[in-house]
Amino acid sequence: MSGGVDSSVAVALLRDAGHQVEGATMKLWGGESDSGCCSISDVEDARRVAAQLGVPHHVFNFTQDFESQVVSHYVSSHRDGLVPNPCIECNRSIKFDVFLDRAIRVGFDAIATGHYAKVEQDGPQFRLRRAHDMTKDQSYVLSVLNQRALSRVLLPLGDLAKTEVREMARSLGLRTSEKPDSQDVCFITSKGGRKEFMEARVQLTKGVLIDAQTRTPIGETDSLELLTVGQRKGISSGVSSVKTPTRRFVTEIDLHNKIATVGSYEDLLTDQVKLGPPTWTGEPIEQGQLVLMQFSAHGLAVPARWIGDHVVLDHEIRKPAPGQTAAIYQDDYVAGSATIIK
Amino acid sequence: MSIKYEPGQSRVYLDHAATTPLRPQVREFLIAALESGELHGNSSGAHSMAKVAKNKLEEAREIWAHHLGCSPYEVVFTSGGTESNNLAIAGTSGARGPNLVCTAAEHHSVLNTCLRLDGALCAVDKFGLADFQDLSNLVNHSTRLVSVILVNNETGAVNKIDQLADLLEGHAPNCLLHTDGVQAVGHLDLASTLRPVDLATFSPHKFGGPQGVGVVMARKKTQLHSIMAGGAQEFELRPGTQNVALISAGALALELVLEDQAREQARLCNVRAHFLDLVSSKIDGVSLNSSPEGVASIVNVTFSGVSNEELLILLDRQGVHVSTGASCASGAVEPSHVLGAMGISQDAAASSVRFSFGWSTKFEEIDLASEALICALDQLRSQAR
Repeated sequence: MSGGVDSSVAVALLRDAGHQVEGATMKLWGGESDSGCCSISDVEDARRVAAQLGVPHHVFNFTQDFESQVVSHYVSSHRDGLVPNPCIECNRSIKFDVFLDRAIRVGFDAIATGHYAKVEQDGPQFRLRRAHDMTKDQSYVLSVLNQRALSRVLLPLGDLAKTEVREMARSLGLRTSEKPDSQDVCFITSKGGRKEFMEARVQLTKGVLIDAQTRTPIGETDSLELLTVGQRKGISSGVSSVKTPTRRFVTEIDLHNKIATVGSYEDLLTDQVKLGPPTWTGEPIEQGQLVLMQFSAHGLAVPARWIGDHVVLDHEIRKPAPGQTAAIYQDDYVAGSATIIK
Repeated sequence: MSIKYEPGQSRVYLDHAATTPLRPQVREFLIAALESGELHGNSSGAHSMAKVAKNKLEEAREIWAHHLGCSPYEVVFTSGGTESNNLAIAGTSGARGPNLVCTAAEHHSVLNTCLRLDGALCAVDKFGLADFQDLSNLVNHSTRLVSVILVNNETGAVNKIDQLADLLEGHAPNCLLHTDGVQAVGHLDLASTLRPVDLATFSPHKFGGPQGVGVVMARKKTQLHSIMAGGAQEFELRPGTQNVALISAGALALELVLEDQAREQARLCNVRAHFLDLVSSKIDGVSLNSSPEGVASIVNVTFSGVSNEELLILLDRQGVHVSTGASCASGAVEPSHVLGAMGISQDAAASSVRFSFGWSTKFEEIDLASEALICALDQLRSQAR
């Protein structure tokens, strides 16, 4: 229970379905936070909702695991010029791993979350499927789940629309019914942003900005780690001093040589994406098969051919940022995921 | 679920160091006082109802003074142990920076007050007792206040206050000595223990009294000042209308605990011995963090390889209520700073549980608790990652 409306309603639905339900909120981040899943008011909201629904509530302290698995991964990825998705990393290594382990140890059969997605059983296999409400579908952030996790996860909101969920929360009189969705990374504050967070942990690297076509220097940046492939705004004051007829984007970041390449929209386009080793939700996909690739939480799925260490896309797209997760779909089922390398 | 909570099963309350159930006589007194409205008057007022309350307030003050070995003018009522510790420390002139010292194993109400005032922390030994060598290095002629917990709330270890006072007399003659006595009532001879102490703090809900009332013993020479602005109540040390019913109930609890102290101490020693017997004979991978010389009411134990958060859930489900010492604002279990200061690893601290006994603890509860512990540990250890 994050303290939001979705997990609140998930609890109510499971309780009404006759399950013996207990609520749990994870304390993940001990530092400053202005949103996300670990502020005290969110825990209070979760506790209050659990009490209103008549289920016991627990707070689990996973701050150490979160620091070692999620935050340090976030920092080290940025140092390598990658832009990770910490929420996916948290799903992989905390929520559907150590949290699930704990739930099993203390005697539960399954864990449930308020994600909008579906788990379907197909013989001995569990399959992860997009939500009924495509505008809210969160199967992308769950694409890192394996069979073990899927066999132990209930997603009660998979067939509901967000409006229905809010309506249920309202009719139950839950204080979370009108609470806005959380959007941001829980350990990055809106005031300090990524810059302040990273500065406190690593020495940021100064770098040279190179033109993608001419390969000549066109400016400098104080912090290569804070650039993202595809970024247009605030790359460097250096760029604006160079006369460029078109909009400029970061097209590549090379921390090793302390270079970021900046180019036009066309320079940003690609029809191939290189991927790290995939994690499959079930059976691996064979090379050469057609898949749908989704490169961000709410991005469009692009038809592609699965080659193994890369995918060949049906048409050109803006380069996704290395470090982000690529979710691999077949129809509306999640086959797996891999980290974007290039 | 393997271990299920069955409504109606007997409850085993082994969390007396957190708070104790009201003693029946105290509960009866409080109900009668509230029902009769006898103590409803504002004790600062001039009319007869106010005077009834004022009389009762002063009666309570005399009871505390008698048992603490101080004058009634040296007893200040507050809202609880935390406020008392704040007043004793922040209300001492000049106690800040290096001139203020507390141990690293204090309760948060002392520790965080000292840290807020940039005070220095004194190391503790493996039982959580003040390290005399470190303390003598930290104090000098400028030291204004040293605060050392009397009975540690997480381990039950008892600091040697008389020896500490001797050390301070030699090394820091201008220093006042404060002790947080919140866990000490009913376990030590208060008047003699407090003889060399200048400031001491107490909280009746730790010995069968009500929550919401606290006491500061502040000897005249401390020249304590108020940390809040307001009226002249409590010798201008603690503004605000006193809750006379709670204060009187607290004094009654004090009388009840002291009147029975010797017998109850012997009983609690047997309770502890029985608990340790069962735990050490029936459970593997147990290590005791409490000093054998500590009070009988608090036992801190590490169960190796087990998360205390998980153990608490399984014990709670079986109706056994214990705690891990400290929680953060969210209610999550925090790694104990006391065990950390004692040199216990973070992993071991995350496997540690505090069992605390008190006036309502029965031998049968210890048997039930040990059975529940065995079940819970079997379940957790059989599924260790």
